[in-house]
Amino acid sequence: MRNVKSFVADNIVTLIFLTITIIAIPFSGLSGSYIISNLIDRFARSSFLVFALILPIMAGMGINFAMVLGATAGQIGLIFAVDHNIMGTEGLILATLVGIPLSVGLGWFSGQVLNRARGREMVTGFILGYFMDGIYQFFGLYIMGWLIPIRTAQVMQIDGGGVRNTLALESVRGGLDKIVSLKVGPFSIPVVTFAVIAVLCLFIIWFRRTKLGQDMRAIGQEQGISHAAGINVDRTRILAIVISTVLACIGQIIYLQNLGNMFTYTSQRQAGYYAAAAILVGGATVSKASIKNVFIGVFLVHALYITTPLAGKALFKSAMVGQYMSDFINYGIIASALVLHAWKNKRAADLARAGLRMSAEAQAAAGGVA
Amino acid sequence: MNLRSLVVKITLAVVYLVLAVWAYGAGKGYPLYIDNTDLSKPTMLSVVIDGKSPVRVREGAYTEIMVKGARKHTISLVLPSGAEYRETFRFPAGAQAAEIRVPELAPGSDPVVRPVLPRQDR
Amino acid sequence: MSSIKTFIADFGWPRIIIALFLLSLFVAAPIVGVDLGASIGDVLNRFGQNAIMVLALVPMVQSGCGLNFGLPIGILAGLLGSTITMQLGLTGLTGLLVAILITIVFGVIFGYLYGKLLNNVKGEEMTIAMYVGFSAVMLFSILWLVLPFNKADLVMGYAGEGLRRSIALEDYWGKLLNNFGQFSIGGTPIPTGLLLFVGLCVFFVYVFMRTRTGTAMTAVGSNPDFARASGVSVERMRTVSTVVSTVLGGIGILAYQQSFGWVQVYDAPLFMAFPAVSALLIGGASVTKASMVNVVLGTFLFQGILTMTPSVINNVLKNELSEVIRIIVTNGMIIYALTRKTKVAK
Repeated sequence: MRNVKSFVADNIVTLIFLTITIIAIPFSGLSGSYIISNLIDRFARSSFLVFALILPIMAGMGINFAMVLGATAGQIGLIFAVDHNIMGTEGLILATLVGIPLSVGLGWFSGQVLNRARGREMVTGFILGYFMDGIYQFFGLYIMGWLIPIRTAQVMQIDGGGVRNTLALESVRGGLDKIVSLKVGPFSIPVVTFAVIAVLCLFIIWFRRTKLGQDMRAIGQEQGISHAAGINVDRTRILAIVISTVLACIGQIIYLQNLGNMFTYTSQRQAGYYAAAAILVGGATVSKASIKNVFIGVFLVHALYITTPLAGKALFKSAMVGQYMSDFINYGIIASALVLHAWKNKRAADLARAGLRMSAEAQAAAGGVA
Repeated sequence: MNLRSLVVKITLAVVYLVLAVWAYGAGKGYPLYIDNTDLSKPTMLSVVIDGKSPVRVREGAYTEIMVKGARKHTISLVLPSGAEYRETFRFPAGAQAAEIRVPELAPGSDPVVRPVLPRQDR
Repeated sequence: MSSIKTFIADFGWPRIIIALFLLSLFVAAPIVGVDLGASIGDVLNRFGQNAIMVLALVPMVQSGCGLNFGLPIGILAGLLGSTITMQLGLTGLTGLLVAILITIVFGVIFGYLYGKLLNNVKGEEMTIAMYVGFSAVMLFSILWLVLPFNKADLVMGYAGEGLRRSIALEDYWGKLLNNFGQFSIGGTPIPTGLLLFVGLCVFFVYVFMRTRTGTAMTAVGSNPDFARASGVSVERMRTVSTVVSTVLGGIGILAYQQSFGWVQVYDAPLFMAFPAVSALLIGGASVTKASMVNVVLGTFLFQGILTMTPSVINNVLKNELSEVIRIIVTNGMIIYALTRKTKVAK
């Protein structure tokens, strides 16, 4: 009985949204095979982005909302590839090669900023994303087409100034997904994309065991002791953010090659909102995240995205309700996950304070309620 | 900086450069124009390059298809005569764009590919 | 000389750059052919529109809750106030007063719940406040569609249900405060009523912060352990500050609406906290300390830049650049404040 209680307490966010999904499926009127084929497609498209959040959580820096800087770097790479007319897989490789140095630089910068904002990394990272929007718009609308010439007419704004608001990525579309596409019954599986995701999982498993990975986990537990043990805390935290930013860059390129078009100045923001919601709904907290959380989270969050707008539309008989419903769910996941986690931490802290007077059983019972 | 890390860094830089140069060269897209403006035997064509999805070329049209890399490509379509046409061609080296004229296609022989200047119509 | 240096260090380079930038805009305006009188009138009007929402942040900063990124919750109370009053068909001064009354009622309820929530999540307030605010705005977007509003000029024409995206205030209490005692000096219209209303609110908060409750609140913010030891309930003070902040946020949006002339619902309040927060910080506030001077100075500087940049830059360059400057200034200022080492309170 106590096991059930603690299981529910540990996975409360996942369970709440799983319940919502299960309720929403019949109301949405979607068939099982439609939902599954959509889930496969969306999983391949977007799980890489979510993996970008694991390392900063490990290093105790919370959700790296500043990952949008990496996504921006990826988009700049894609703009370059499309503008220079580099097609297919080669185009994606070139976009990645352009994006990686940029995202290393941006990651280093945001690591520096976040090191100065200890204890409020998340909100600072969030605002840093908006700040970057301004710089990126300045780059896209004024530097591009002025200092950096735009070569392809389809990339340029109609009036000739800067990069278009909507960029067709037709030339690189499916550059990863379509290398090998396996047909299994009604579902098509992008084999290479899944292979890339598998390699990334192996990388993360391996990385946790390296010296650097161990250091990150130590810092995530306790900064002071890590410092005393001779770990360069600042540098390790910056490296966590740099790797996260680079992964976000690659993740955004994978995401956009699947979609085939990009909203030049807003697509990167979606990446940040979405990835945070996914990892949290998968059961991660701001201090603990695993590969399992990413997998569960990506499936669950997309099941929510697919079903809830239609369910909302059917229940309230209004298409607009469905639209707002999905936004509400997205913000609501993050808000409730953060609240429940902080609440649990506070209970734990309160209990620890009163711990001397409390017996072990009482603690477990009270913890179970939280 | 010790020798090992120096070697690693140089190797990484070389790999980065080689990959970039390769991707830029092999992935570069070139416009191939299908000239179907000869109206003596008008027909609508469906052109397939390198096994990609077919591109419709209307009668009297001059259509642009992007091909990846200045190398060997396959082209397949159904000719006005009804004969199926499937041949390979090499994109002319050094050309910015190339053109294939539909009336010049004859079954059994490679298409005539002329280097032309890219159109700046868009 | 050294006193200038400490002044600059205290005030911070970004603020000085922003103040100089605004000054140069005012100097440049007549040169590039912008009507300076009308521009100053614009700045004053927008100062009045936004000042109360900036003011709303002060109690929570003082009580140690940080920057209230959950301001949209207060704004939602204000939106309920104005839409319900309009649905009841009340216009003019009666309408505005009833709207304020309803706003206060909802503001107290929302603020109390929001404060209780924040008390349970100490340490992560700002991130959580932001996302709770976002969620609340989206939840209300659904409510605006399904609540039983049915007055013809409020609801969408074709379906007859669901509020319009923007509802005209003209026939209710639009420009009521602006037009009260309005006069012009050399082509500069002074929105007397609006400025008086802002002054009243600032005065109210000024007095409130000096009452027993207000000083206890500041004590909780600057040294919670000491406050607890001297018998002040930290939780209660934080809740009170959140309630006051939420109510003021609601009144702030009412002042904004009457001057702007439209009630904007759905996702309009989503990002309204950011410019307010930025304005307060530009005025010299930190994450842990804010005063009335910070509010007035900050709103003036921030709205000044927002008003003057497009009108000056449009005459010289293209339009979007002012948007880029707005994004960079707003968020750059917040990052600057968040990354600044907070001085240990004495």
